[in-house]
Amino acid sequence: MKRTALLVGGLALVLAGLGATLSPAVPAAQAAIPTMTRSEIVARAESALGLMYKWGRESWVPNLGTGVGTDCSGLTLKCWEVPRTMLYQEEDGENATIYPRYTSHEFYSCSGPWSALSSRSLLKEGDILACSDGSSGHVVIYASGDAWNSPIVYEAPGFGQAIRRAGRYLGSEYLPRRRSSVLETSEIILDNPTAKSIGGSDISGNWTRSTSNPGYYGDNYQTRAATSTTAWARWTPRFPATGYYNVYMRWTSGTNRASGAKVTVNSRLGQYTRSVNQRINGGTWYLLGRYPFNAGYATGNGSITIWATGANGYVVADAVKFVRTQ
Amino acid sequence: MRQRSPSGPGRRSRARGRVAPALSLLVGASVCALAASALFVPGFVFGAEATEVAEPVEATEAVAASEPAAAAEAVEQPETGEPGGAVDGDPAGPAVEETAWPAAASEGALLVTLPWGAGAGEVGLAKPTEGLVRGPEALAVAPDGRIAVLDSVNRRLVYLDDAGSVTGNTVVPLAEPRFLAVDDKRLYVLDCDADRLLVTLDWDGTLMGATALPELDDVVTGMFATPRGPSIEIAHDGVFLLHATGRRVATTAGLATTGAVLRPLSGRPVTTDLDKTARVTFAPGRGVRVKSFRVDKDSLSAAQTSEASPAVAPGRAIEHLVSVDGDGRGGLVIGARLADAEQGVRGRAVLALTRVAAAATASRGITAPDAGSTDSPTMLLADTSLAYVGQPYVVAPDGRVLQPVAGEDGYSIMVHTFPAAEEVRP
Repeated sequence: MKRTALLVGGLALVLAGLGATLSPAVPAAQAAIPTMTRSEIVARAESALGLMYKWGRESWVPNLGTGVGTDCSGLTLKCWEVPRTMLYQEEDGENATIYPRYTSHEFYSCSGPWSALSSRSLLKEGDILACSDGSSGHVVIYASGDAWNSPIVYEAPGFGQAIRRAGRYLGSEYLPRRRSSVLETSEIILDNPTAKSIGGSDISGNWTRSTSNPGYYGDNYQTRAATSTTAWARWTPRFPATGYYNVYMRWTSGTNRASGAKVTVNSRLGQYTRSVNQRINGGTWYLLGRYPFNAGYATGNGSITIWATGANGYVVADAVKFVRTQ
Repeated sequence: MRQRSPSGPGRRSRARGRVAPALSLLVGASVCALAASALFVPGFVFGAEATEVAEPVEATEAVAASEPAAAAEAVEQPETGEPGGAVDGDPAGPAVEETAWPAAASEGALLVTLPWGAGAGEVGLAKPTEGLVRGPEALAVAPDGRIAVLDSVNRRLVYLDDAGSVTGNTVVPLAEPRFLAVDDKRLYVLDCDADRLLVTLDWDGTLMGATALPELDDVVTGMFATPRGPSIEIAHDGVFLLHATGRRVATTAGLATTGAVLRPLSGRPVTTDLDKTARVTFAPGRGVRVKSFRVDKDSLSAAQTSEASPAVAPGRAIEHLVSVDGDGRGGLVIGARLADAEQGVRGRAVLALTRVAAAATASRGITAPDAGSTDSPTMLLADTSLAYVGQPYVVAPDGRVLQPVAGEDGYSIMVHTFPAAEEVRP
C-alpha cells in the first residue's frame, strides 16, 4: 500500500520542515455526500470490529471480517461514506483515487462535509469526537453514553490494537462533530449502500445503483439482473436489544422486476426464507415478518439477504427496516 | 518488605517535578521525523507503520461500479451555536446563579513524575500519528496508601509507596492491560479487548491466577476491588462480581484460565467492602439523581435504600457526569463536566467534583443533601493531560483525589484535597 504511506510520509516531511499541521489540501467547495442513517454508520463500524489497526488505510470487508484494517480516520471516513459513494463496498480503496483522504485533523477542523457541535451532550450515535494537535490526532465514532467516566465509542486506537467498541474517557481536547446529510430517524434503517453485495463472477453485471424508478429510500437504490451465479445483497444491523423485531424491506417496483425474489432472514432461531414480488408494492415498507434477534451485530443470526440468483427478473435492494415489537 | 520487583527495585521516581530534557526533545521533535520510518523505541511507540503486507482479496468479490449519488445535502443543519445554547435539549439546563466556590482549578500537590520510557521507574507513552495517544491507562490506591500505576504501553505495573516513591515493577502477562483495581493484598488487572483475561497479582509481583472474562452484554467501563473479588462495571449500567473458581497460582509461562461466575448488582460500588452501591443518573435540565443500594453479601443482591437529588457543582450547569466514587467516609464524590467549559482548551477548569457528604442516615444508604444546596464542597480540576490515561481522576480510599497527568516530561500524579469547610452536613 504505497499510496497512503507516501501520502503520510510526505506529510511528515512537510511537518518537519514547516511545522505545519497534518493536513492535505482540501477543496474549498465540498462535494455533496450521500445521505445515510445513524444505524448505517453503526453497522459499518460494527463490521470492522476485530480487525487490526492499520495506519493509513480504510480497508475491510463488511460482514466478513477480512481485509487489511484501518486507522482511526479511515474508520470514520468509511463509516461516514466520505469523501465519496460506494466506498463501503470497495473493501480496499488502495486501487482507487481517494481524494481528499481525510485525516483526523480534517475531522477535527471541520474541513469536510461535517460541522461542530456546541456540546458533547448533543452527541448522537454515529457522530464523532476528534482531536488534533497538528502532529498527531485521533478520531472516534460515538456510540452511546455520556455518563460515568467515559462514552462508548468505536475506534481504531493504534498499532497492535484491534478496532473495537470500548468505553473511553476522552479529555476536553476531543471535540464533537456531526456528519452532514444524516437522515434522522429513531428506527433501524439500513439503506442500499450499507448492503454487502456479492455479484458473482460476472463483474459487468454486478449490482448497480439507479434512480430510474421513483419510491426509493435515500439517494438511490441498487439493482441486479437475474443470474444463475451467486448474487446477493445483505444487511446486518446492530440490534440494540434482544427481542422480536418486525422486518421490512423496500424496493422500487416495475414490470421487469422479479416476481418471487428470494429473501433469507438469519435470526437467532435459524434461517427463514421468504419471497417478495417486486413488480408491485414499490415505494413502501413491505413487512416480511416478525423475527427474533440477539442484541449486537452478527451476520449469522441477525441479517437480511436478498438474492438475484435464480430470479425471474431484476432484483432491487433498496433498504431494510427493523422495528422492535417486544 | 512490602514490594519487590522481578526486574529490580527502581527508586528512580523523579519526585516533585524535575524534567528530562533529552526525553522531552525526543517527544517534541520525533513525531514528524518518525512518521514514515517505522521506528519503535521501547516505551515510545510511535505509530509510524510504513511497511505493508499483501492484501487478502475475497475471491468472489467484485468491485462494484461507482455511481455518483444524488445530492441530498443538508437534510439536517448541525448545531453550531454557542456553548450552552438552547439546542436539542438545552445541555446547559436552566439558568443558574454564580456561586462563590473557586473559579480556578485546584493546583494540587505533585506526588511524583514518572519519566517516559521503559526502564525502572519509567512508564510508556505511545503516540501514533493517527490514533490514540496513550500513557498509563489506570491508577489505583490501596486502603493502606500504596499506589499502583498500570503502564499499559510497557505491559507492566509500577508500584509506589504512599509518598510516591517507586518501589518496583512487575510484568503483566496481558496484551492490552486496561483496567486496574487494588486492595491491601491483591491487584487485579483486566484486558477486556485482546486477551479478555483478568489476572490477579499480589503486591510482591507474584501472579496469583487468571480468569477468563465471560461474554458480556456490552463493554467494560470500570473495575473495582472488593473483599469478594473484583467487580466489573458494564456500559455504566450494571455491575458484576467476577468470581474465579479453582484459582491457582500461575506463572507467566502458563496462565490458568478458570471458570467465572457473574452476579449482577445494581449501580457502582462506592465502598471497598461492597456493602453499598450507587446508581447515578443525569439529564440536562433535570439534574442529578442518586439511588443508593445496600448489598447483601451472602446473596449478593442489592436493595435500594434511598434516593436523592444532590446539588452537583452547585451554581454551575453541568454537561454530563464523569465519575461517581465513594469518598471513604460513607459519602460520594460525583464528578461532572461543566457545560460552560471552553472546549479544547488545556488547563481550563472543566471538571467539577462535588463531595456529597454522608448524612445521619448513612447507615441505611447514601442520603444526599437536598437539591439546591450549595454547601457541598466542590473542587475544580483542569483537564490537562496530553495523552489518554484511562481516567480523569481517582478518589483514594482516604478521600484524596489523585489526578494522573501525562505531560511532556512524563506521567505525573497530582494530589488534590477537598475544601475543609462544610464537609459534613448535619
